[in-house]
Amino acid sequence: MRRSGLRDMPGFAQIFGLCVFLLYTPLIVIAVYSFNASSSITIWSGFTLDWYKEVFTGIDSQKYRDAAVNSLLVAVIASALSTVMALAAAVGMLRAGSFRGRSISFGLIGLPLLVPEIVTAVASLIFFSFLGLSGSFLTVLIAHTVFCIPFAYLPISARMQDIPDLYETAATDLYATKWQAFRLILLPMLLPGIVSGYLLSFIVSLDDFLITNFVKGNGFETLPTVIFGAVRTGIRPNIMAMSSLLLLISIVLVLLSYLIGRQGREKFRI
Amino acid sequence: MAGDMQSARGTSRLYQGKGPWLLLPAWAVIGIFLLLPVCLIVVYSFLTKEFHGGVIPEPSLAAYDQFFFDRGIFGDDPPRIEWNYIEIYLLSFLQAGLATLFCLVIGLPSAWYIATRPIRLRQMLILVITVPYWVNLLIRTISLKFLIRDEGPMNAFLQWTGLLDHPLHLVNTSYAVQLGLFYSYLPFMVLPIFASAERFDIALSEASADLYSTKWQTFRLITLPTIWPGVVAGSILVFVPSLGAFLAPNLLGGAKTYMIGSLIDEQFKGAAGNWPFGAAAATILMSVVLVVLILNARSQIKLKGAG
Amino acid sequence: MNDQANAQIASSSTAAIQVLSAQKRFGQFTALDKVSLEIGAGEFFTLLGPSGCGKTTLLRLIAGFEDLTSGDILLYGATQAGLPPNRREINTVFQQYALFPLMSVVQNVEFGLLRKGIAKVEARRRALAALEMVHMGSFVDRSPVQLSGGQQQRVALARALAPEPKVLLLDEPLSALDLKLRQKVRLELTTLQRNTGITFIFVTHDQEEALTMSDRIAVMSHGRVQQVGTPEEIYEHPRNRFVADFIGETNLLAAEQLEGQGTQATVRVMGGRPFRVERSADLGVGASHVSIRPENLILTDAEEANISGTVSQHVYLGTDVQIAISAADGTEIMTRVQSGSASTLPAPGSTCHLKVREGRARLVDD
Repeated sequence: MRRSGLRDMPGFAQIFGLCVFLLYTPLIVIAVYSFNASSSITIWSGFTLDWYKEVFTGIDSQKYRDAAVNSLLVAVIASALSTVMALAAAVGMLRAGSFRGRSISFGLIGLPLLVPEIVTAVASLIFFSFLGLSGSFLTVLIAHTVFCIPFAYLPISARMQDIPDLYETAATDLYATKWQAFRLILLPMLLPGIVSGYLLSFIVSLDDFLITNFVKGNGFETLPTVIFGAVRTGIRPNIMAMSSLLLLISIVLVLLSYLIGRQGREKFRI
Repeated sequence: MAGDMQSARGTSRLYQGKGPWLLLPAWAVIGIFLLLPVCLIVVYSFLTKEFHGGVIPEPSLAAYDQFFFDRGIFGDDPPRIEWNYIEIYLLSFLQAGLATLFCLVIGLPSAWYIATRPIRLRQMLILVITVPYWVNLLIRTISLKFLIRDEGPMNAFLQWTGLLDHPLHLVNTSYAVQLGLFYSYLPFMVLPIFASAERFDIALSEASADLYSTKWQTFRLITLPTIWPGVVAGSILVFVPSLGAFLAPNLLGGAKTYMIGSLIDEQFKGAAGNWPFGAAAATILMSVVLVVLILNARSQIKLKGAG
Repeated sequence: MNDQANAQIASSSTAAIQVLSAQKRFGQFTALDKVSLEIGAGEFFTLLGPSGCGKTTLLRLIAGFEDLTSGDILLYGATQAGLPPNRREINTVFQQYALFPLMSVVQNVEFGLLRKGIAKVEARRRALAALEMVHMGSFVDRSPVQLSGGQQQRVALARALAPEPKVLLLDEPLSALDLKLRQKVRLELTTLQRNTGITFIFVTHDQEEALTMSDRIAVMSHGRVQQVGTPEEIYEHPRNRFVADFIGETNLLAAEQLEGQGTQATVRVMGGRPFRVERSADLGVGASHVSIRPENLILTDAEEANISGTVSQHVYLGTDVQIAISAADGTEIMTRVQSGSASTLPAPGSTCHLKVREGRARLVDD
């Protein structure tokens, strides 16, 4: 590859270093201190796994377990629903030619990204109360499904844009119906994008605090809402342990999504 | 030929006529559960408040009146401009603006640095920037708060090195909020700038250098204008969510640095709530965001026209 | 096949494909303008033309990837209008091959057979036979991504031939191959076509490919068919300026028609000595250009000259030397002589005289 001195601006490398430092220091610090034996949490006084034990067996562990189960259930279902809708939408946007409403559709699918989160939260709360739906698993699930759609849509449509319609055309030339062309040709090629989209919307759902907090009602908690409730009174070490666990889950899922996406790209470079 | 050009862009007419049907589920879900509710906010902002939360379906301008005018304790003084809420909005603007500026100062050079690395390294570095974005925002904010607390590791470290003799007081100041917003949305600045910097043709810089420009002149005159759309996109992506942010002001700012997010949040929590007022505050926030987006769209159309 | 046989095929009732004033528009752009063609069963038929001439559009219309704006396309007399590609017994070899990357070679080849409802065992047997036919029998379980361009091309061919379509469409299948391979594959393709007896419709912009492989050629430009004929007819007797110019190298010169009768005419070019040219009997009145191939212009002396001018440069081409001559009105004229006679060539700047080889110039339509 051509290298030219013009690419390198003095000081930019250092600023990039600072950028990475700023992004990672808080995460690394909290992960390290979650193993701190001292309960005063500031002074390092030796290695311990006690806080992790407390998360799973302590007084509040039942509450956290329930919240974790709720979070997972919502994330699994909401991201599945949004992925299916995003897949259909991507085919509609990229494989159906032009039609009335196509350009506005793109804005509509991206709408959850454009509306400030607090507005979405308020809007959902008002709407559910207007319908007479009190906060529950269902309201949280609906709200999550909505904002997960663009996160599932983007990797799927990016992948689909990389796949020329040539293969499906060839399939129909070889006596496949359109449905067969989709199922036997496009779908397998899209799979990395679909998995990637599912994982991303899964993380987004797992992460959401603000909207969940508005629509959850009393009695239904997810992990972020219980953690938020707990830190109001101060950051206790068991919260740091739980945060580190969630940190790990997010990072693993992102890396997985990235690797699957990349593998897909390399497997059928055209 | 038209058909060939179309397939080259990854789009095709294979499922011609099925488009609306395929988009229907996404349209319906987003339309019913987001677009409709957002419109409902506007309606609610013009209704009468019910104590203990909710609304009475009677049209009223009370929410906007409360937002903009001060009529004294008993509500019968001649109306004066109420600065309280406007100040919260202006302060939020300032906070979001400063956060955007800091993100730009760090994000632009970082994005350019990443975009000019060889391809394998580039992909890795951009992943390094992306990963924190996917980490739970609540956890990131908690981590930051833990780090910068008066008795937290940062102050301990600074005092240990002898740079400071007493802890730097950050938590519950507006600096902490700016830092929090900066930290929350930094990846949003880097990614779009990176995307436009990656497409930049270095031959343009070479031509400029060949015509006697210095490195910085080349960067300012050639590089910056070409990556400008990325800078604008990044700034919007940082500014808009910062404006309505809730977690950073709430956890890092405390009671003194009140932002729009907390103001709205409060109206829907507990008996002190005022739904129409919260809806009005949200409507005003939305209008501001809409103006920003429209201005951006206009400038992009202008850019396209010029190009 | 000889010309007579071809003529017979084209006019007989067993036309494989009949294109009846087919028109295709994309918005305002007319890609295909009322084209009519008849392609005989078992023919190797080529659509030749520059990019954008409508040849690919016509191919896609026959395959069913595009819908006609008006007109009709018949396959053995049965209309194909409105039929999706999967219900037409026509298969395509795509320019970029379009082998399914997630399937093995043999899965690719049996795909069409399975979709047609042929039982698995039988489909596998026929797929393997098709791969044998294109000498790819030892690559059965490979992934197409691992194959070279030439190998992919053979698999694409096997895949399209395995379901035994009534017509095979080939969309510039050689353009992605390097020069050496291309020449080899040309020969194989014609052999394959003869052995299978399947009607081939071949699209290319490469006149050499068209001339060497085809039974008949349709030269296209601007969405219209300019001329249909055997390679020899097209090369030797171009109907109009476009065909003359597109096929091979030629000098197209404005000519004054002194007399014309039947297939003969006498013309004068740039005030020089009149000479006899060929013309087709149905030529329009407006015909005013002659096409003279460079090799049909001979250096001569002033008395015999049909055309005169000043030598502007020599270009050495290996076996030949090309001489560029500027006529008095500025027209550039090319001629060729064998390299051996280089010492006797007129020097650049000198006047030179040219004679048209008897009967080798042709009057063409505008």
